[in-house]
Amino acid sequence: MLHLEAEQRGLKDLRYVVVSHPIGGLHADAMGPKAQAVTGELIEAFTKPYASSNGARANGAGGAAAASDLGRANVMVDLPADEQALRREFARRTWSDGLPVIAPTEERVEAMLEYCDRDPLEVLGVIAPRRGEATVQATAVCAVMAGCEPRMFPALVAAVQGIGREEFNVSGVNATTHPNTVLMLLNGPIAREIGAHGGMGCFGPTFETNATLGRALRLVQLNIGGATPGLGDRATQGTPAKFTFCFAENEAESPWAPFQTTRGFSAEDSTVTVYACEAPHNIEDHGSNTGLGIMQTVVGSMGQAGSNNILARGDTLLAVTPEHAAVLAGDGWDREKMREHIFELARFPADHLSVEFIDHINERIDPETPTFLKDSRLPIAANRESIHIIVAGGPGKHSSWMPGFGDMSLPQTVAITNRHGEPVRSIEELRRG
Amino acid sequence: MTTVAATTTRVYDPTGHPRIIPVQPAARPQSLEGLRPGILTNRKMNARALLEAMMGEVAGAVSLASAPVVESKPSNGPPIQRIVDSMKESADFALVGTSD
Repeated sequence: MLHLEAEQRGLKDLRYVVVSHPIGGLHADAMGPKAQAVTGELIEAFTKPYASSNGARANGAGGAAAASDLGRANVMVDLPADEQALRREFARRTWSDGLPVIAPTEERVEAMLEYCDRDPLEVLGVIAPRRGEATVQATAVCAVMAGCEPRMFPALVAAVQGIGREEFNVSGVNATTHPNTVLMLLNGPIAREIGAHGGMGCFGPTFETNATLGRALRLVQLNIGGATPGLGDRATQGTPAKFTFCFAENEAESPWAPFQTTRGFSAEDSTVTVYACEAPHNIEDHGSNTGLGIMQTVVGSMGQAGSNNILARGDTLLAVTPEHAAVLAGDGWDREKMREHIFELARFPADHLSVEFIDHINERIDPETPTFLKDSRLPIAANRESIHIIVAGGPGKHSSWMPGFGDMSLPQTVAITNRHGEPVRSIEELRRG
Repeated sequence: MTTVAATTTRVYDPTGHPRIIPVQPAARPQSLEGLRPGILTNRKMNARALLEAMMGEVAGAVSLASAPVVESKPSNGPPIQRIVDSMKESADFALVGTSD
C-alpha cells in the first residue's frame, strides 16, 4: 500500500522497512526485538544511493483535484465477448467488486453522460491511495459497471467530488484497518426524482437507485482509487457495507427540516453527503413512549466501547426511524436538544477500559498532557455539531447508529450542480441538448 | 444466413490514470556517521517505542551526533508545516512511521 502511494507521488523507489504486525496491543518492551530484526535493512535504506532518476514524471497539477483541470481519457481494451469469460477477466484484473458487472462499452459510457453537462475529462477528484484521476468519464465507466441508469449519474458526480475533497481524507478512509465504508446520503428533489429510497428497509436490497449508486461509488474507490482489499485497502475485517451503502433521507416522514439544511443548504437544494462510517448498529426500543425514554436507549447504544468514535471522537451519525422521530418531536425534541443530550450522556467510563488503552487515546490527542483521566467519561464526538441526525426507514422502532472513522475524516455535503457550479433543481437541467 | 458471434468486445479500462506529482527525494548520505537523527511518530500504539528502539539500534551500529529529536503528528493527516520545518532544522535524517 505504501509502495502504491509512494509511486504516485513520484517516489517509486522510496525506501521503507516493514515491521511485522502486531505492533499495537503489545508491551512497549516487545518493540526491541522487532527493531533489532530490521537494523541492517534500515541503515541501508538511509544510505544506499538511488539507482535511477526515481519516480515517474509529474503529469498533473498535484494535490487535491482542481475542478477546472482536465485528466486523460480512459484507454480501451479488447476482452472476451463471452459473458462468463468477460466476468472472469474483470475479476482477474481486480476491476470488479466480486459481483458481475455490466461491460463498460463506449456506447454505454456515452449514454451514461446523457445527464451530465461537464467535460468528460474534467477531474472530479484524485482518489488515493492510487491517486487515480476520477474524471467524469472514468466515473461514468464505474457507473455503467455498477448498473446505474444515466439519470442517477449526477448524484455519483457529487459523491466523487465529496470524497475527493482534502477534508474527507480518502487516503485514510480507503487504506485504514478500520471497517469503514462511504455512506452516500441523498437529500432534496433530485433524490426523489431519481428514485432514491429512504423508507422501509432503505439500507437493504432491491432498491435499484440505492444499490447501484452505492456500488458505483465503491467501484470508483476500487478501480480509480486502488482500494483493493489487501492492497490499497488494509481493512482488518472490512464490512459488507463496502459493497454498497446509499439511501435517501426519509424527508416525507421527518418532523424536522431535511438534513442538508443543517449543512448550509436549503430544503430545495439537492445534495449528496458522503460520510466514512461503519455499517448501521441497531437501536431497538419498542418500549419507550416518551422522547426521553427513547433518548435513554439512544445514548446507551451510542456510548459504547470499541468504536472509532471512542478512540478518536470526530463525527457520528444517528438515523432515527419515523416512529421514534414522531415521539421525539411530539415531546419537544429537536436536533439541537438531541445533540446536546447525546454529547453529554453518550459517553463511556474510562475506568471500564484498560489503562494502556486510555494511554493510547491520550497519546493520539496530545503526547505530552493526558486529556482523559481514570474518572473521565469519554465522548463519542468532537463536539455537538459533529453529531448528525437524520430520519430513515419505515414502520417499526429500530433506529440506528453509524459510528464514524473518528477525527480522521470529515463528512462532505455536496450540492448537485451544473458545470458552472450552479445548483440544479432537476436532472433535466443537466441533460445534453 | 449464418452469423458469426464476435469473440471480443471493446470496453474501457475502468482504472483511468494515476496522477503523479513531483516530489524530489533528498540525496542519500554515504554514511550516517556524525549525523543528527530525527523521529516522526504517527501517534499509533507503540509507534514511539518502536521508532526509538529502531533508532537505538542504528545508534549502536554507527556513531550519531546526538540523541534523536522526536516529533509526532496526528494520525489524521500529514504533519503540519511547523513540524516539517522543525525536523529539517534539527535533524539530518529522519525515521518516519506510517500505518498501524
